Amino acid sequence: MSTPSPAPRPVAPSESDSRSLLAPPGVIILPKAVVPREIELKGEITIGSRTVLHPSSKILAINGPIVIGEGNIIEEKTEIRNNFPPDKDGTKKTLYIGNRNLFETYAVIEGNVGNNNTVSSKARIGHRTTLSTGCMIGCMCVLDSDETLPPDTVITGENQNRRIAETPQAPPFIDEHLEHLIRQLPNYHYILKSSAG
Amino acid sequence: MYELQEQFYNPKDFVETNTGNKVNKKTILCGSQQILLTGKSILDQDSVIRADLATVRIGRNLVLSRGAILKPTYKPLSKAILPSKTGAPGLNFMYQNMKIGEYVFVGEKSVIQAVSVGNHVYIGNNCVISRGVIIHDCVSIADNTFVPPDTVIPVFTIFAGNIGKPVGTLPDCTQELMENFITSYYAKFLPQSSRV
Repeated sequence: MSTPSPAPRPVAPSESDSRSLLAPPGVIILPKAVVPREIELKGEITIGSRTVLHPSSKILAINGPIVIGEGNIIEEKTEIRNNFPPDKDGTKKTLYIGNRNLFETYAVIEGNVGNNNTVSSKARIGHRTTLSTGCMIGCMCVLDSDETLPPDTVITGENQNRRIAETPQAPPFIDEHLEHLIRQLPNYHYILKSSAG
Repeated sequence: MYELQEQFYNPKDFVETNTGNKVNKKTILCGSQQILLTGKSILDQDSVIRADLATVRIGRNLVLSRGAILKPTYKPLSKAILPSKTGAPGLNFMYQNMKIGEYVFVGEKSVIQAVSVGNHVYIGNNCVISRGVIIHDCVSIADNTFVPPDTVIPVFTIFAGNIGKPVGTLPDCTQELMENFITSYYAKFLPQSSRV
């Protein structure tokens, strides 16, 4: 089979669809965020600029609001859920996600996340765990302990072996990846419009 | 090999093409102009093919079970390419085209980011095949396996574990076994109207 060059064949969104491209009520999408129409948004959500969501991901703010920072990549079938139990006086807690994180396919995020973290496929972060900076959670690792992971923790394997990386960690090639996705995805998907509030 | 049980589907949920592909209406096919389905493939509910990132070529007789994901892999480049028409500088980053061979079975909720998957490959349920992996012909990957990035899996290998390792070899007749398995899976995947 010959391999033709991967020439993008863009499909321009038609004007008649623009009405359905407004963000659902309660959702704030800041400018330059890429949020396709095929994802599930529920509750009070703020999505920061340059954050890319892939289609079929889910953000469910069930027990309180969710705030997502700048430059995150959230891949397919990822679920970000606010499952925090409310305080004794009934106030709802907010789930914060920092900047430049990579959440791979089928990851489940229920705890607070800092900056520059990688959560690999099928990994799960429970609501009591907090990721600080530069953590790397391997495939199929489940974390539900009541702790804040120290910076640059690497957790991998069946036995969830832990070590601290010697150099500061970041998701591989995240800046180029983001730039590529921000250019590529609007060619193929209907992108929800940004809203000021 | 034991006989497979018949599976019945609701004909309202599936679209059947001229070449015999059975595609569920709830699959998410992104960039459908860059998907090449050769024929007699089954794409079950909630499976995802991300062809908007790069071209995905699929040989005959693929079975994509529920929730399975095919996604092209990405890699950095030493030199920036593809200066875009808008005048923006090119990126030293690209998604690679993906190639899947004939008679491939992909189990439920498996994630495949391989560069290429050969012919007669069995991939179990709940596997994660990371980016840059090359899978050669006649390979079996056990359930719940994590294949680390940039692995090359040679022919007639059984791969298992998290983190995945080769654990055995397959017999010489794997080709016939896989052809029989996929052909009978396709033959026993029937609309409800044919139930007696």
